Amino acid sequence: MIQLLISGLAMGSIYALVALGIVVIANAVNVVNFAQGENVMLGAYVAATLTLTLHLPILAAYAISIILLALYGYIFQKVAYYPLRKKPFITVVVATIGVSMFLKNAARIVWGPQPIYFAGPFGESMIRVGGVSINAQNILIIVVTLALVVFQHFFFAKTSLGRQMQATAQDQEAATLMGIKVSRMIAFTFIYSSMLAAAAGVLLAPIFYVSADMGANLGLKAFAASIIGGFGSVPGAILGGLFLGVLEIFAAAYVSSLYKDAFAFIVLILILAFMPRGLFGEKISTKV
Amino acid sequence: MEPLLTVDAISMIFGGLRAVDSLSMNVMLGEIHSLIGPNGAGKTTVLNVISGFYKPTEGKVLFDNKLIQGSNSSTISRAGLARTFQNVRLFKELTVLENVQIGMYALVKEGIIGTVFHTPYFRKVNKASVEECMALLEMVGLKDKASLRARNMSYGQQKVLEIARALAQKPKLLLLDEPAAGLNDTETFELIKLVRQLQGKGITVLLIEHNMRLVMNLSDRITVLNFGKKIAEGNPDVIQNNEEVIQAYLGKRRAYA
Repeated sequence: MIQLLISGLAMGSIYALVALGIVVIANAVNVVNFAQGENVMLGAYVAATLTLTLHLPILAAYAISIILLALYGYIFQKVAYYPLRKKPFITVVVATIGVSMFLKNAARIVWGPQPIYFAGPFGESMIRVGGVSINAQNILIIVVTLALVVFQHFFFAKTSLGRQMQATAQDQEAATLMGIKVSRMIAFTFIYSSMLAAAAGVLLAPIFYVSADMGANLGLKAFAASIIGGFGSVPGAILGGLFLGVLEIFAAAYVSSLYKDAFAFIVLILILAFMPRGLFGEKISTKV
Repeated sequence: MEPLLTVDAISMIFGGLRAVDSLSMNVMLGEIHSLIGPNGAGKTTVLNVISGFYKPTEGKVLFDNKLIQGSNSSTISRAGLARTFQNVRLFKELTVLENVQIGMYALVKEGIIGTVFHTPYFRKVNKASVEECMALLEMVGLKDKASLRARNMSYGQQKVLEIARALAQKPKLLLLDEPAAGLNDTETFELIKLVRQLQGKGITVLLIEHNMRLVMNLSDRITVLNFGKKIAEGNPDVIQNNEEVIQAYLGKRRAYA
């Protein structure tokens, strides 16, 4: 029971990180980035290659992966967002879908169709707490996610860069008039979102094989999580992610693991039908 | 007196409509200059050209002896030109103080390292800027509201908060787009005092306003627009007695101020 809860929370933390990446961009530029799941895959593959092929220490591989994904985030917005920024919502969304397909197929060519196993810093070790053994990686995921959420809150609320990014998200024209370099703030938002994806990727790799297809399902679930939580709300994305992770694990354990994914989407449909603002959309609607 | 802002024969054409038709005007250093005229005369369009939202179809805009037409709004604002909006456009989810701080950020060079890790230099600069922002809030009477969210302010408070945010940019020229619209008499009176105070601090003001009592009371000079063209310019006395202005805009003769 405790084990299930912990692994649910760990999976939920990953959904939360991916959902945060989606929500931060949606708030800043009103685009739903359907490539976020593939960004996670890219982060995982980069770290796996650095460790398994280039034999770098695992923490160095994590750091380099996050830095490379930051660079990737900059290029991503230059290629897929910036030229289309004045186009309708759907045009940009289709561009992100295009990027996601490109990445998925490119990964298949570069890294091959076989999933790669990439262990975490603790390998397969278990932590025993009062007769319950818990996968150490799950604890790591939860702790790191918590730390990132705290960091993000501090970053957006307290630093001038974070506030300028918030101002840009709330009113681009007015932000321009404040002397804020809006296109730079938007680039930072994409960079930040890609770094979140890299973090999610390296954390997820040990409990999920690294494969070209890992991103698709993840991106969709994270999108669902952000809607369940109330789309556009940061606390909603986090709580929606955790909720979805726990729900899935319990559904798999007590009902049927075959229908694990179905449960996520049944809940999504129920939420959309009966609480279209999401579980936390109305009460906590803080942006970014 | 020398001009701080020179608008030289600008035209702005939207499709077939000449919203502004070869308008020329000077805003002199230190004056309060008003731009008035009936709805649709092109006043806000002029402001949008000056602040860089529109590139004029024809003509030049000189600010502080530099050509600015067609420049990016953020560059223009850094050059010392700040504005407020006809419909308040605050960052509603940020606090009152944060809104004013945003206005100051472009001026503070602290670097990414500083903003994320709070170096001692950053802390020093930040403390000074918070104090300056609080002083601005005190000037507009919102000091005790500093930590509340902007969206929870009344309309009148939001309007003066927008002015405080613009002042945080330390502008040479402040463009006010209908600052008195929606204000009650007391608030309008406070606004008049505030604008006078700004002039005392050496800030030049270009004002668009329909409240004629405020315009006649505050303005050193007035430019009147009708259908995108300048029909008159001069001090309040001259304008109030100009036949064309009375016909187009002011209506029957009456004394303001």
